[in-house]
Amino acid sequence: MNRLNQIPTLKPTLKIDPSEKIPFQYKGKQYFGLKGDTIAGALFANGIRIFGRSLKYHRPRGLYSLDGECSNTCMEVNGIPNTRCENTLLKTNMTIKEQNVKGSAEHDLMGFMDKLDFLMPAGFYYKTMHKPAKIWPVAMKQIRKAAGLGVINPDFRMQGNFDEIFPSTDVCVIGGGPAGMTAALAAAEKGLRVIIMESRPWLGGFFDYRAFEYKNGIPLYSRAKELAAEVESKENIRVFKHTFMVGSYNNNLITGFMTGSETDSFTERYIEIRAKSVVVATGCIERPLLFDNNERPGVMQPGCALRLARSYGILAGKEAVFSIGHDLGLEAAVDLFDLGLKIACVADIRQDGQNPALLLALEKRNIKILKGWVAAKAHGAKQVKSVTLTCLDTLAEKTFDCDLLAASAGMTPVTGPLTIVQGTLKYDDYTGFFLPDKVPDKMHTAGRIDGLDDAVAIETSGKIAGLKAAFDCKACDKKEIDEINAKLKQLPGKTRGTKFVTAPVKGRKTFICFDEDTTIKNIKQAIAMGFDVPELIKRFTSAGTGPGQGGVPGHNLPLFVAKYKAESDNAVKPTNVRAPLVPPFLASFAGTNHNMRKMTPVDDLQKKDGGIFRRIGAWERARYFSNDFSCRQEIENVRNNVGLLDGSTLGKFRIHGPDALKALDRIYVSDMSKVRPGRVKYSAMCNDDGCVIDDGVVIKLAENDYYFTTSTGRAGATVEWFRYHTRFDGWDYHLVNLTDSMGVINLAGPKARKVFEKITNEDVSNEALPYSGYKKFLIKDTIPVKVMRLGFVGELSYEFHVPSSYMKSLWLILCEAGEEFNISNFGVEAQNVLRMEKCHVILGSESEQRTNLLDIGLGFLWDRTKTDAKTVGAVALRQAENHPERLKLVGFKMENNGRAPLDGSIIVDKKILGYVCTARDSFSLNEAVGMALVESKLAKVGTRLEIYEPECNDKRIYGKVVAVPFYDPEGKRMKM
Amino acid sequence: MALTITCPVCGKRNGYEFRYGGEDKGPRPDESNITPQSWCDYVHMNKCVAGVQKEWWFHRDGCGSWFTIHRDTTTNLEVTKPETKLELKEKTVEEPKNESEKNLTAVKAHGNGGKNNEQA
Ligand SMILES: [Zn+2]
Repeated sequence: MNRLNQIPTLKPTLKIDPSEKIPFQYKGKQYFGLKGDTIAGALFANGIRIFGRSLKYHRPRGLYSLDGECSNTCMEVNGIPNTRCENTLLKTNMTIKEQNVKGSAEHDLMGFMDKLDFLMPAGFYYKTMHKPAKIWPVAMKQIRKAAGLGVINPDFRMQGNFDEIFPSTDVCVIGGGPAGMTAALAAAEKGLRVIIMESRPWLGGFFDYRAFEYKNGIPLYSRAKELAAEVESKENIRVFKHTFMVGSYNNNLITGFMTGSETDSFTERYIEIRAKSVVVATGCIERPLLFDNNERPGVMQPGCALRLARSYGILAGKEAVFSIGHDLGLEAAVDLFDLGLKIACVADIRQDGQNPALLLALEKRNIKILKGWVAAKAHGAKQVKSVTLTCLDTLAEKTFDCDLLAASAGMTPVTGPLTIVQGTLKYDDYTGFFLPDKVPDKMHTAGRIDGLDDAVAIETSGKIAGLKAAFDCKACDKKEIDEINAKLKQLPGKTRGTKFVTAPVKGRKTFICFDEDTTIKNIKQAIAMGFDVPELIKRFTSAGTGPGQGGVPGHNLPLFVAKYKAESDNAVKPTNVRAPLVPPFLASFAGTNHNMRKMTPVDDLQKKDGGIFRRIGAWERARYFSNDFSCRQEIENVRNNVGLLDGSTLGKFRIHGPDALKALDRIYVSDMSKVRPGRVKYSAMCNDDGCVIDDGVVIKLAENDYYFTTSTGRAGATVEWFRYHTRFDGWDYHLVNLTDSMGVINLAGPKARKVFEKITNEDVSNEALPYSGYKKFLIKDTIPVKVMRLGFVGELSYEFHVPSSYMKSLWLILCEAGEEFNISNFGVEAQNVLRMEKCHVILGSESEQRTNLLDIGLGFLWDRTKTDAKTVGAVALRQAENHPERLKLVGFKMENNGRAPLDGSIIVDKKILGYVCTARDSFSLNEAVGMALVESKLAKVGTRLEIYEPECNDKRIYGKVVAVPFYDPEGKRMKM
Repeated sequence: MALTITCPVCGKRNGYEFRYGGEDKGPRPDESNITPQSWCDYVHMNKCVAGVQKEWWFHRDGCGSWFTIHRDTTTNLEVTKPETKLELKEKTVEEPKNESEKNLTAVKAHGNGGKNNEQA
């Protein structure tokens, strides 16, 4: 097709330049489009008229609108079904397929469905195929096959980059047309930050494609360009083009998504805007005209035909008939005639009231206009070949040959952004619109959504809305708004509109909703069955529930229902819309997987030593140091020589200030005044149910100055926890999270002291630094280290707490010093086995949410005398103390030298009596041992445990409760 | 979460940054006269007001303060005073009367929309 290439409204990207041609595949053949084309536009320009087949009746469907009002142009693009081709820009080498066809859209073997419509009355989904019940499974399969348009391939993986941004702004303007742009400019001139969102790839809106006069001989499109240039030049206006608004929420939260062009770094980008004030200037869409075959390819909205020509250089047909009910239709006829379209006839629903200038323009061009006439039927099996017009008065008929029928009944405001945030609408008899009635606080409307139609009035209302938004931001006074309001009053106001919905036809092939194939006949059936409210009729007939989100039937349905039931105008109630207003990709909501993770200061050193890392919470931790996941070598080296573990992920905190001790006593179950200088105290924290949530060690640095550790997983919540439970007390203490600024090295094994001795001249003997002791050191006269003697793994061991910046140095110093003692790394799994052999618990492994301090045998930590401290958990512990039905933590070994059960296996008789927490084949003990939480009746030493593993095929294994700990029961090794 | 919350330290911020800390139930009760029932009530029972309630929030991704705000649970909006309730405002865009006669002569877009006979 030859495109119009000399018109000034053409988008710059669409300038005809052969080198800019974009190849794409459709049905296996190569076609070419132009840069800036939508997919639908490019197909249309290549002569494609049937884009797909309809949902139920497999009727041919073509280009009808351009802003995604219906699913007619939903196609499969690069494997993505239901792509809205009229909103999606063409990209190089796209592969495009038609949907919902057997054969092709042109020759669909399912086309006979159109004759079977009498089998599918309104609500037939609900009324058929469920009696008798046994036919349902058979029917279901057939319905599933038939339902839906596109087909999702389960193997399909979404390509592309999905991004998200969360800008905040003073004023957010929805809609980049004249009202939106003037609103943005008015707010920006007050020095405010403005975001303007426009769903089309360019600003301009209602003025953009129109050649009519704005004022002083300037055409509207020039004015659009002028405004757009001004908006784009403002530093404090951020312009988001090709951005679809999908939701609006309380407190002026606006969400949307932006479609990336070929040069953008993202495919689609989720946007969430927090604004102080919002301007809704979404304008109008066309309200479809209903008649027989009103969705036949070749029937198109006049605005669509006009924009195809003006923006894309595509003439939608050779000879056209117009059937319209508003001046924009007349204007389109005049303009398209001037651009080369032959016009057989223009039928206007209105008897009079047309803009005289437009009537004059039609007359000058010898275009016949029939006032009080309307299209009654489109003829042609697959495309429009002729149209029968009928006179509304006399029902006389005339038939005209044409290949384009530009039809619409009127306009309708796009009110979704208001109503999804609980704004209300009121039917206005004069305009025939649902106009904003109550709008949420700090939200303003402007332009055609308010029923305005005059170009200057639209801009003026935009300016007022912009100033009102500025007023919300305290950047404008009321007086200024009043002055412009006075000006608006002098301008033409709302335009009278028609309420006409459907030509006088029976309605069997008159489609009120294209997406769901709902006809006027279906609506009448629903009303006959007693559905009286549009919202219910919508549910029952599914009109407006398709991808177009009510774009086609949204306004016509309530109008038709009111008319059909002969209700008064104030009974006309709109149906609801819901977010997302436009269908985005789920991938856009999912966003990018950033894999944010923390690495310890010796991450690379451990990797060099062969560490195999696993994600644990926020951290990457070395879990193994060989491919033997039983960790035998690592374990034996700790038991026999000395090992080195990176414990930097532990939570580390300093608490100081006059009330620090009080805070510790509130949170920890122990009496914290008993923390002695130079000693380490092990204690635990509970929640208000007495359930144990954390354990760790505390050391006293000075009076009311303590350093303590928490488990890795609790580090993030500790400050919050302390502050929450002391929030009423007004205590004075500082709590500093040192988790990331301090590293921890655990040096463990019988030769640990020999290594330590080599790096310090100070006395580190068992007398100078005994088990549970704490001392500060300065290694190599430089590195400040807090050293605690702990025994988590059951051997002589030192925990070095060192500033993160010195971690690497100390690590290397220890490695070098330990070389002669066979020092080597051990990972988290080896540590897990080592501590399990000592029956030292890890909260989360040996406890779950309901496990209290007493259940896991840590009751000795609790000081029941400090009631004044109001210790968190103490009340509940006292109440739970004598509760016999609680689980108890026990140690067990396997019978007959059996292997260890899987962690999490359940312990049963006829019912579940507990579960295995951790169990391993122990190299140190030469048998399988583990810990389990069991009902207290099983807790006695010697009790046999029946263990049921996942997927064990009902084959039980057995263990026996034994005394704990398993390894070194006297604890001599960690105290040596 | 569309809610915004005003932190006494950081000001009005996105609700994402905060953690909810429950209804304000007053300080921890004295341990001497507690019964299992009264303790359970204090810890677990809530009023679940449909309206304005005083409640605790923690500025997790911010300054780390616990503080109370008033929130209307029916609108999910923070309110400044316990008795405040935000309402939708009546639309007050000035609607100029249509002066169709005067404008008939001006050939502007099509803003003079005349009197259409009602056809529907
Ligand atoms: Zn804060």
